[in-house]
Amino acid sequence: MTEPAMTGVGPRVGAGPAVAIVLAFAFAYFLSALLRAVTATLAPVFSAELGLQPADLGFLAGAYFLGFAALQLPLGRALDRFGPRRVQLALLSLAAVGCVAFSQASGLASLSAARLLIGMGVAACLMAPLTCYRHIFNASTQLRLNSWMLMTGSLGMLASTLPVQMMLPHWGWRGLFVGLAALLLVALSLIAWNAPRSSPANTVQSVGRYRDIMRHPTFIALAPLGFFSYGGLIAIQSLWAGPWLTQVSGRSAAQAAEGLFAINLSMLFAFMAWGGAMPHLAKAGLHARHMITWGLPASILVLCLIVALGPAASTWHWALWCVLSTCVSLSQPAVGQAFPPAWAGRALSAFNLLIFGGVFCLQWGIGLVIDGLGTLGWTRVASFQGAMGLFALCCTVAQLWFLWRQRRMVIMPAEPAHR
Amino acid sequence: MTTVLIIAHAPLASALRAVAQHAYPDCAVDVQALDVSRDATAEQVEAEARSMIARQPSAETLVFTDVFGATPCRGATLLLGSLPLLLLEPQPF
Repeated sequence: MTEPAMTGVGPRVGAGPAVAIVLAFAFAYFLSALLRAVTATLAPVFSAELGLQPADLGFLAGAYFLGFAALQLPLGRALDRFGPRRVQLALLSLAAVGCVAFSQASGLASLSAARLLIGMGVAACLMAPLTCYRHIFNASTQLRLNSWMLMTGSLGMLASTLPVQMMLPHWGWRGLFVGLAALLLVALSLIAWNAPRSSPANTVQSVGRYRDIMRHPTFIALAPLGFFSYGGLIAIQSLWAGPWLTQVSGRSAAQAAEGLFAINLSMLFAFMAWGGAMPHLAKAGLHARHMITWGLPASILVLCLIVALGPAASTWHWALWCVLSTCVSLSQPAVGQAFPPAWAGRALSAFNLLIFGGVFCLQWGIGLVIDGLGTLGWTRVASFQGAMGLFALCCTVAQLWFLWRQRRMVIMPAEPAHR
Repeated sequence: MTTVLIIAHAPLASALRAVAQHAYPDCAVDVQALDVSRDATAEQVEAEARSMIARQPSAETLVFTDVFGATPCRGATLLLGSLPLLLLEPQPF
């Protein structure tokens, strides 16, 4: 990370400070991913200790996303107006308060309120660093760091499983959340110490509207991919891969948990590989849109294969689909790069809201289709196949839309546009 | 004779003891139950369990708990620090 790619658009950022900035933001994002996924690990404890039913657990998990999504649009404006550092410091303080409140909660209402605070508090954990990277790094470095941030997120999700479970007998879930609050304060201190204080935003550019962002050719071209392909990737990784393994492939709960661990680990390595390869690919003239053009059709083919195989499709088929689908993650920095740095917070946050809207709709929608087909007399396996087949069709339409519209996209420059 | 101590969320421990009494009435005296209420702390569980173990005439006690990482399990884990116990850890998944 010492090549001129670290050159900033304002003052130059040296390799040492650049690494410190990335590590500080990555640590916060690691914690946010851990907090997102930890309710799945703690679900049996909450059921036993607080009497929470499955619907309660679903509501509790959803409270995080409610707080997270509610803040995305104001967050984008704040990122452009106040800069990633100040926004992240304010929000991480809120997340730490949320963790302490969670550790003291005694029932569903107080747990949910605290989790809402946590969701709001970590709302900027990916958008703040991506906005910061848009300000200070060139295009290929942004793609690399985007992938490595997502790798850190995968690591956080892995940490929320076995390591958290091993700590529970010693700390308990209440102690765990006090510990997480302390770690959030450490992340906050690291960001306060290392993140750049200045932002290229100015008052003229900061008054831009979301409507202008959503009418941008790049946003329009990538929006269906963000909603269906990116949102669907997260929806299946975080929910539907597990039920497929148990209800279609006939795996036990323990085998499904091992399968999900393998899928998450595969994605972690895929993001790591993207981060390593993207700057070299960019030098060879291969940019995000090329990766999406060639990579996503392969993932759709694998998804069709999974649907056709039915019970014979298991962990490694889903892992391959997830790995091939990771190229859609390159769409997010591509959106950020299509706008001036002073617009990056709003552009990235708007796209992020679209992605999480897709996660919500697809997690819910796939379940509705499975249940709906079941009421029509389809078997459980056939219902899953039908729902995933419909999802594959949505991804295909999104891909065709992208291929049709990509000629109108802003060509992403190798270096920041205004240098 | 080894004593069995069941530490679990209320009323599971007593319920399991009742099952044991029903199936093996002659062993009922060797099965003890510690019901843990929602507001109990791990330290309270440990103190109560220690007291129950001390009252047992047998030299050995086998402790069962329910959810891994929950308060009954944590209370049982705390016993490890003060008694010559062996913790049989379950597989987390």
